[in-house]
Amino acid sequence: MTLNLRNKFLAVFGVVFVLAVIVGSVATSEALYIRAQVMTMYKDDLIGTGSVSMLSQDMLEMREKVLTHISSVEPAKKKEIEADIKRIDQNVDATVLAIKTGDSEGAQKDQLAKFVGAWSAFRTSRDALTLPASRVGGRVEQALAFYSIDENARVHSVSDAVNALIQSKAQSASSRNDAIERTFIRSAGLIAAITLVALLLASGLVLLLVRGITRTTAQMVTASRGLARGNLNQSINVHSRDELGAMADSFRSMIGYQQRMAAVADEIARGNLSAPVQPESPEDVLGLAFGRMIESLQRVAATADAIAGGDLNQEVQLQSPEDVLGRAFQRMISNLRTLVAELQQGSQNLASAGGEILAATSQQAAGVTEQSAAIAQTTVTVDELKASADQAVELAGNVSAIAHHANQIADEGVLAVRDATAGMNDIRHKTQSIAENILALSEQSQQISEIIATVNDLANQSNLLALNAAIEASRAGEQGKGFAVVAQEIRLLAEQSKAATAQVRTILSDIQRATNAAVMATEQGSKGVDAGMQLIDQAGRTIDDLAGVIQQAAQSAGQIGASVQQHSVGMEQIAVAMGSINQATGLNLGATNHTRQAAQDLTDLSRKLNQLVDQYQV
Amino acid sequence: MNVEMDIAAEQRNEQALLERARRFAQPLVQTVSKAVLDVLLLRLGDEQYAVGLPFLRSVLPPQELTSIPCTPPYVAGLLNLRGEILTVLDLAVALQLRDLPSTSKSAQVILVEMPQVRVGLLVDEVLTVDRLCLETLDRNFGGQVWAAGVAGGTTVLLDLERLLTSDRFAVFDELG
Repeated sequence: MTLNLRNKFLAVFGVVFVLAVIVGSVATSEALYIRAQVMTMYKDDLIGTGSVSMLSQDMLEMREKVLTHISSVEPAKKKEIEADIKRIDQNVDATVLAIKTGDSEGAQKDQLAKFVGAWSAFRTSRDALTLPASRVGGRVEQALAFYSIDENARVHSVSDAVNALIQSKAQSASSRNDAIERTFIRSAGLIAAITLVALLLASGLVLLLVRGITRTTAQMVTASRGLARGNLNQSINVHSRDELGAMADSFRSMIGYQQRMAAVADEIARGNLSAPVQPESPEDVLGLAFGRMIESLQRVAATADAIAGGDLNQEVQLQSPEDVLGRAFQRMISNLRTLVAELQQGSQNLASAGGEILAATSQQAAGVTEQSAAIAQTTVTVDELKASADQAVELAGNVSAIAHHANQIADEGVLAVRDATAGMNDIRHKTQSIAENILALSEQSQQISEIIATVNDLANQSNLLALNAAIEASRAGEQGKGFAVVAQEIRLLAEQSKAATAQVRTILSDIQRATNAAVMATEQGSKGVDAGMQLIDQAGRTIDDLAGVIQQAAQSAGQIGASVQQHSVGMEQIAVAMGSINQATGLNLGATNHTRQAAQDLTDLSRKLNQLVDQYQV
Repeated sequence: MNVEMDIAAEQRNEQALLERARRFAQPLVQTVSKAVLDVLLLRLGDEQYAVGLPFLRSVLPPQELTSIPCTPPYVAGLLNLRGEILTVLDLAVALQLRDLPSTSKSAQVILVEMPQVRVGLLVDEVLTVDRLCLETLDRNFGGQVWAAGVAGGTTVLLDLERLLTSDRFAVFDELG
């Protein structure tokens, strides 16, 4: 059996399992023992102790009954008590039997025998002496004497036997408890020791196993990471007989395969298409692909070789719809075919064009001669134009002078308008001051009217006073007569004053009407002045506009003069240019002759090209 | 002096002349006081009335009256005359010349003073002081009891004493 990973794991698990079983069985057997001890303690000691205490109780009751029997006088009562005594006897017998069966180990056998002896002695004495004495009336003293002499001592010995029983039960329970505790401590120590050993053994084995696996897999991980990065120089130093060893072997052979394939790819890259490729197996995808690649590249190389030899009739088969190289070759061949055909056509065209150029250069020579004559005519015309431009310059100067004169007149007009405006302003100020004076006059006449009102009031009051004076005079009788006359005179004066104030009021209202009219008139005058000023302003603006227009006209005339001057200069330049053209025409004639020679050379060249192109088979 | 005398009764005329001579021989004051009366001429509505000066205390300057509610229409209101509260009657209403109180701008109050009564009278206008001849007074014009007579055919002389003590002015009785 080889030690592969599964077996290793199984071995470790088996060791741990056996140890666990040992621990479990030890713990179970100890627990069972402790349980049996506890059960015994419960049955023998606890229940036994209960029965013994019942015995003690029965003894006490028995004493009481016997004493009651002795002390009671009624025979019925005594009978009843005797029945009770019989029942207690039966109880004691049952309890003794129970203690005997409960004492499985026979630890209390001696004590029980002692009790039974004491008990039967007491019963014999009681039934033989005390109770018969008590049953016969009047022998109470005898019965008591019996009781106090014999039975009392016996009852005490029975009680002592019961106490000894109880003590023996307690001792038995205590020793059993000690045994249980010892067993428990022993088994706990045993279980702990076995468990510790099992844990140490299991952890050591697991640690060994895990360390072996981890070391191997770490090497694998490093190697596969290098491979993923394309680094093929990997080595794995694992030689074990388990699955990890097998995995390391296959990893090593994979690295070798990849290194061989890389060498083949390198040869192809260097252009060596004869490198040997042997597939590792029928399923070797990479090896088969390399073989197909070399084959395809060899076919393409053969085709390129034929094209280089001038054979353009080669057909290239596409390896697949995605064959970029094949497609490029197809396009190259078709383009080369078109190119050669066009070259043949072009060289023929070149020959005919050379002939045409020859004919054209002859015609051009004739044209140049005609051009020379036309230039001479142009020169004469330019001279005439120059003379007329000079005349235009002079005219423009005259226009400018006239515009300047018009400008001066417009300035005078502006000055006159300014004076008129100032005069109008003066008139307006004066009219305003007249209006203000008249308003002041109106206010003063208002004041006069207020004064007149006061005077009128005074006249009224005087009238009233005169009336009252007349009344007073009348009341005074004869003595008041003279006073009445005076009062009458005062009244007449007051009447006259009132009449006068009425007159003054009439006059004042006339004055006020007149001043109102004057104020209206000045207002109208003021408005008239405003209208006049507006008209003058308008005239001033019109004159300004006119002066502006004349200024513009003068500027335009100046610009015309300047531009005509430029025209004249331009004409001179044209005359000079015409001379240059004439000279150039002479040169042109010479050049045309050279061109004719060049066309001849071109024709010869096209013939040679035709011969070259014909070498290609299309 | 328009007394018409029977031309036939010259003796009686003589007697009259004698009587006149005897009258002229009397002290002037008495004669005049019996024959003439100084009056204040007033305007009430469009008519002219006269009031004897002896019944008057004074003419008051125009002023505002304090009207009293729940009084007869002829009570024009109250007046404060130098601390004295004075009842003012609209004379035109009192004489039943019209129903409404005076609205004239020239309306004035005259203060009447008699032993029985002291009251203000509102008149439309105070005209002037004049002197009436009592003998020429037409006393039989058949007018009201308060009219003492008509002078010059246009001016009605008012008997203020009779007017103000008449039963119609029960208020005055209480005031008096």
